[in-house]
Amino acid sequence: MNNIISHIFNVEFIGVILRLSTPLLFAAMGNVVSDRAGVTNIGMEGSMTLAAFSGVAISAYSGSAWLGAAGAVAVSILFSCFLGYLNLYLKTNIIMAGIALNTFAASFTVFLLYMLTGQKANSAALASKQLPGIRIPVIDKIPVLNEILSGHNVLVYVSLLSIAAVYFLLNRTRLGMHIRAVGENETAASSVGIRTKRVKMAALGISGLISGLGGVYMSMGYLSMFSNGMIAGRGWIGIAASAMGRAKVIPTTISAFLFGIFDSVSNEMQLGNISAELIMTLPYFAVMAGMIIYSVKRTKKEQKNA
Amino acid sequence: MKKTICMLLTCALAATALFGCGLKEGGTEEESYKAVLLVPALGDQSFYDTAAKGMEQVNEKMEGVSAKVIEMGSDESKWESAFMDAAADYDLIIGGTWQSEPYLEKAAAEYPDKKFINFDYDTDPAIENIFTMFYNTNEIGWLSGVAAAAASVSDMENANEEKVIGFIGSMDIPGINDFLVGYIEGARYVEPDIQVLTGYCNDFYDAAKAKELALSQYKSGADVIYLGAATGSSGIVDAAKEMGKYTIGVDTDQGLLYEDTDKEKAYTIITSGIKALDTSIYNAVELAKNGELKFGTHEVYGFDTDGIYLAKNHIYEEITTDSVKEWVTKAEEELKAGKITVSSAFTMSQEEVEALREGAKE
Repeated sequence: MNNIISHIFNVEFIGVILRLSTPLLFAAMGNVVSDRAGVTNIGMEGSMTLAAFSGVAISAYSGSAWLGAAGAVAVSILFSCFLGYLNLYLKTNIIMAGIALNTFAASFTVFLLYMLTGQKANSAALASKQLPGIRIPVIDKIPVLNEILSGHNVLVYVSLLSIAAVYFLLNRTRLGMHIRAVGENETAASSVGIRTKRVKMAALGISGLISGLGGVYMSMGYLSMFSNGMIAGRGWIGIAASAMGRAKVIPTTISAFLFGIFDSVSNEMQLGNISAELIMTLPYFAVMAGMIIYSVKRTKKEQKNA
Repeated sequence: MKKTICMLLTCALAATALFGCGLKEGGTEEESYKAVLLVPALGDQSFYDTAAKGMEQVNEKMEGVSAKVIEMGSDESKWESAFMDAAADYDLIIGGTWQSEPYLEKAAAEYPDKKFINFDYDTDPAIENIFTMFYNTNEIGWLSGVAAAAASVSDMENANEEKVIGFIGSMDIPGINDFLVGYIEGARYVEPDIQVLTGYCNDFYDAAKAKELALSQYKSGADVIYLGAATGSSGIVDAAKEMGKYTIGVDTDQGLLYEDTDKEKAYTIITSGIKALDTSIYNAVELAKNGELKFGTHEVYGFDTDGIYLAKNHIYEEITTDSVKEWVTKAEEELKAGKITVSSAFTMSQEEVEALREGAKE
């Protein structure tokens, strides 16, 4: 038990949380953008899976990690825009289209993997590249802070920057204003001349870009290969985090980190004598508790206002 | 008019299709003995892939037998029809584990003149035309535990001072815990005070989770971790490479898998506990074809019958010290001589497994 406590109350543990929260943060931020435009990016899991695979495949054949990452993000953007095309222009139900695309991505990556390597489990046979870690110049010299903040994979920092970027996009740019307007009231937005479909498409594209980075992080940052099913629901958790944060940047960031924290704690707690099943329920329990607290507060506020 | 033409064409097409089939059935194929292996999916680089390798060998070496492997998919609701279809077309139908038990038994009852095999299944068959076979997975765990503990206390390059080893499993289920029980007992055979850390991914695929569990075990002083996390195990190998520690593979020789692409990863895998699914399936098919396989009975393959063993590839020879090799050889001799009985999670209650597992964490 002491062992666990010393692990959790350790500066290194903050690094663990950062590592585990990064993919969730990317997924959550990606969803904030699309949610605010009024379309939930149900294809999140699929776009992350495809990005994770494309990054590995492209980097293995080109020999460049950065080229792999760029290609993966491009694939993810295309994938999300295709979901948008199905939903906005062909009027498909977005849930149906999303489910179809997610199952497609899950199987198609395995198919391609088999074509390229003859294996279906992981890309161990591909000599893919990994994105580098970064030591931050000044912070690297400060004793405790360097352990917490320095030396992580470059995408960990990108995910933190993405919080600011999404905030800036939504609140300080023309496109961001249009996104919010379309999300709040599509008819009103179109009545003042905003091309709503285009705005939604752009929002999905940006969502694909950010979530694609999450996929790249999984296969080229956190792990050094693609493995079948490796996204393991992280895209869905991103959607949940965005829903919990009501698609607002700060609350969504907090909920994404909450998931990351509970995930890290549950890993460490397995070292001790606590049943694994109970610990695994912690993140989900946290969501429910969060939603209940939020709803209670909201209804109270509404009663007051009424 | 168009409609009529359409109809006629459709009928013609259907007729050719049926006719075509009829011709083929009547051809030479009937002479060969047809065996089929039904698996959920290939590509796990261990369990089912090894079983499929047995069927490949049948195709390559055995005369008069045609073997096929069918992937049923992970959706179990399709398995019943898969087994029924297979039973209609093939002479020998092979399925694996308790998971395929209900479908296999149903098909066996429906087709009493066909023969069935269930491998890695731990009890007697329910019906006369089924043969079941099992491998002492607890002995694989035991030998792996011996190797892990011996490596942990040795002077191997990346072994540390602390007497701690780790085990990461996919799920908290008897099939996985059977390895664990043996692993703990094997480790204690070498070093009675050893600490064995355990973690479960609760998922067969989540390599990231497996990696994080591995990192936390390595940081707690473990220097060898057992790869029990199915497809997710690749994450543990990743962690071992990053931390400069060791792992022990399972079911197939996993060190050789990584050798061509990533030498560093390959050299983290000290050895692998191998289940000879391929040879046992090959032998069973051969016996069945000659009518010598005793259907209605159950067979257990252990270390004494080469059903399980430790892989001693060149990596093992290179990286382990003499003390590790001595421990392993000694353990193998005693196991073969029957001096050792390894407990099994299949006969223990969940409470007993838990007590052993939690006790080993101290």
